[in-house]
Amino acid sequence: MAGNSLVLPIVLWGRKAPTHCISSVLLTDDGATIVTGCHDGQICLWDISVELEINPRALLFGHTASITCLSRACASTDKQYIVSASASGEMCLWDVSDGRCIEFTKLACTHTGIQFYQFSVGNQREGRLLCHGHYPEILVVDATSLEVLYSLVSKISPDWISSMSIIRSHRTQEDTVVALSATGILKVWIVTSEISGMQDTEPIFEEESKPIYCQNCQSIAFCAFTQRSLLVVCSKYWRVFDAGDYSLLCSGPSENGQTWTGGDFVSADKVIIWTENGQSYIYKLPASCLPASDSFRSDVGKAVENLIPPVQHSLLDRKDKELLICPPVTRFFYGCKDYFHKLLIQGDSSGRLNIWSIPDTADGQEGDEGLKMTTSMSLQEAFDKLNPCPAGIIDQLSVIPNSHEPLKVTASVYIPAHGRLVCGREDGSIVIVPATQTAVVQLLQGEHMLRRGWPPHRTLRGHRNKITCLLYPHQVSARYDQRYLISGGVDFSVIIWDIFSGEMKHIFCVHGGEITQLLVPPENCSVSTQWSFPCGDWVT
Amino acid sequence: MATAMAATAAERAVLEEEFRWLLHAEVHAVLRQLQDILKEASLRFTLPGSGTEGPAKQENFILGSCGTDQVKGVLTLQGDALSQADVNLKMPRNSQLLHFAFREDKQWKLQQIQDARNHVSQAIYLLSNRDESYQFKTGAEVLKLMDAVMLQLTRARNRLTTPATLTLPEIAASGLTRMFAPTLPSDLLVNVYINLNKLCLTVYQLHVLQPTSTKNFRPSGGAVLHSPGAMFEWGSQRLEVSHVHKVECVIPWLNDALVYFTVSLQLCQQLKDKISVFSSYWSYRPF
Repeated sequence: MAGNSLVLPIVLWGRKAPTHCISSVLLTDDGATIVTGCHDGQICLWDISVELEINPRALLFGHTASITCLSRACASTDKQYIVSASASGEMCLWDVSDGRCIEFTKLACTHTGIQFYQFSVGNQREGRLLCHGHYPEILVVDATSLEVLYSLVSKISPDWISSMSIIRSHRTQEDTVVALSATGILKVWIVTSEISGMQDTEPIFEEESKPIYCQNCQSIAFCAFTQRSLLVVCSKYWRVFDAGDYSLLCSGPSENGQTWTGGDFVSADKVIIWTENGQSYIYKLPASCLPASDSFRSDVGKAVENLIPPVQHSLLDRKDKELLICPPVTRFFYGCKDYFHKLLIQGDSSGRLNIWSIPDTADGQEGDEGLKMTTSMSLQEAFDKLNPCPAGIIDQLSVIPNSHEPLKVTASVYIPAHGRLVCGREDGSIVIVPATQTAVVQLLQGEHMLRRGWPPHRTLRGHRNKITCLLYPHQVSARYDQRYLISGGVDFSVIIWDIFSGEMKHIFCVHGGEITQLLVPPENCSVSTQWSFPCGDWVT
Repeated sequence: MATAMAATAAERAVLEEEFRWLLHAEVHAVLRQLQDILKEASLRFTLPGSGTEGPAKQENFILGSCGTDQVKGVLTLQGDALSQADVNLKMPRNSQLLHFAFREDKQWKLQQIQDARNHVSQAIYLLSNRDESYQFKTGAEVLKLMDAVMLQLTRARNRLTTPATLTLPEIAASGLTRMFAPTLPSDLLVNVYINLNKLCLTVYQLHVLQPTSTKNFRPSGGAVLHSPGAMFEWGSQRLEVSHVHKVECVIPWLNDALVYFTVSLQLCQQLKDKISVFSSYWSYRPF
């Protein structure tokens, strides 16, 4: 397949949107794009307008495992770069404006959180990515080359880091990295911007290591409004700490036994905490947590389990929405540059994004219904709204009379040598279409599409039930005749076809069960074992 | 259009009833079993100093080989770290007995054990929110949960079965070499790792390759265990491994933990298979 020319892949989407089981969500700095990563490794870019209208724009392929975290990765405002990490250790740097992958690397460890750290060296702006995950340290990675520069290590009981927050100091050059380890120990590192100048940097050890006994920590957030408090959200409770000496200021329980998955500060005196079910609650902090009040730190040292009633809570109407197969991902974004919205963005397993705009004057009464969702959009909804609607290659051939749903394709194989796409379907028929020609013409809508029998195709009938696998052996190994196509189905049979004449050459009926796979044995196998049809636990 | 399997409405009703039973009764029974097994597994990895339990128990392991007694070690494992390593070496050339031990209060953390333990904790956490009171609405939800739990358990097992492949310069630079008193001579390298259920201690005896030597110098890559003849460059010298001694000892609780991992993975896979059987019946709606 080597060639001198650049091969541009084109994707033709059909009527059904791809599945997008969202595993992480990010809003870019300019507030114009929402980036979602999914469990299959794809990243979707959604445009969001000033009126909070969402529209999916692009799907980025490249990762081979589920996306574990997303973060912004560029210091300058003219470029919008993001970095994504997957469960298999891959890290990619993307340009959000055109979806290009700029840099790629693969590490041995999985990251569960990445944060961008920016500092100025002279008049140069440098960017670093602070990563934590399934390893006992915080890695400092260069934001342009994705190389690991050095790491923040702990001397006292080193363990995996559950969550981390960077506290920028406005007065000094030293910034603080606060992290919570898997065993509930708070660790503090001092990071200075001068470190970037050094070539070979030694690992930095922690300044402080304080056990705060927080099990199953989900997130740490530093209050940008007061510059003084830290919110730690664990699965069954949440706590507010004084960022000066890390003493406990107040503690809140779980609501109705639900599990918390994260939280953030909405304003100087309010926090929003969200659960595994997608519910969120806004709490008003007592005066002992606010640096501005006189009774600040009055509860320090006392046993704190004061129940703070929620001010407002967001309602999620799930009656008509899709069933979820895994917990949704929620995140709070507040920008102070180009946009002033306080947005709570939630992505779920059905490819849907829900956005709540948190108003600044949020002093609702107890009897209130709660905060309404501002906007919601799913990939399938966006596909349905398109006009003209996207056409798949064999849509015209898949119409079932008296049914809204098209005939499903259950197996397929592409034969590049002949430019043919072979689709096996759930009723046992196999359709062969000239893929490249059909795709080219599909891109140009016209009267040819209404012609009977479009696209030109050949149908092979022989199986009585769903086709489960298709194999074109000549593609895998040249020792096979290029005429033959093999198909296996749930009707326990394997059929060899001649694709030029459309004849059924031979049927093998097995007694073992449904055919699950068709394989071509390696080159040096003996002639008697030319085919392998594993089905259930029977292989020939 | 010919429907897949259940041609009659009665058959379909029975299938749906079976599936409902699976989702509401059987899944919870399996999850409860899984939780019990994984809790047993996590007990094996005693956490040092977590909460009020105090320091973890110390276990001594005597590492030796039945054939020769050139290398003998007594390693003390406390939780996930080695708190003491007493190594006796009998040098073949002059039958001199060398003895090394960890310096006072020094510990060498076995990252493999901590990683395995953390993966088990993650698996338990995933299951902890899905107890009897939780209603599974679809089979896909159960499959996703099982996939997530199996991923953690597979990772936990892999951490124990695949020790890191290190190059000889990496072994020489590791902090382990500096943990001993008296200081290790420059012609000895020591490495400790977990392989499956065994604690392994490897000692490499080196000799300097003279610049006038006619041997073709090829620095060797990373490996779990290097063989005699492996060469590397360290500082300004070129060194070659002349002898390799490996001694090991089975850690009983690691063995138990690995068995628990295998059983849990089997349980997860069986539940997935049971649910997947129904997917072929109704592929046209979310099951």
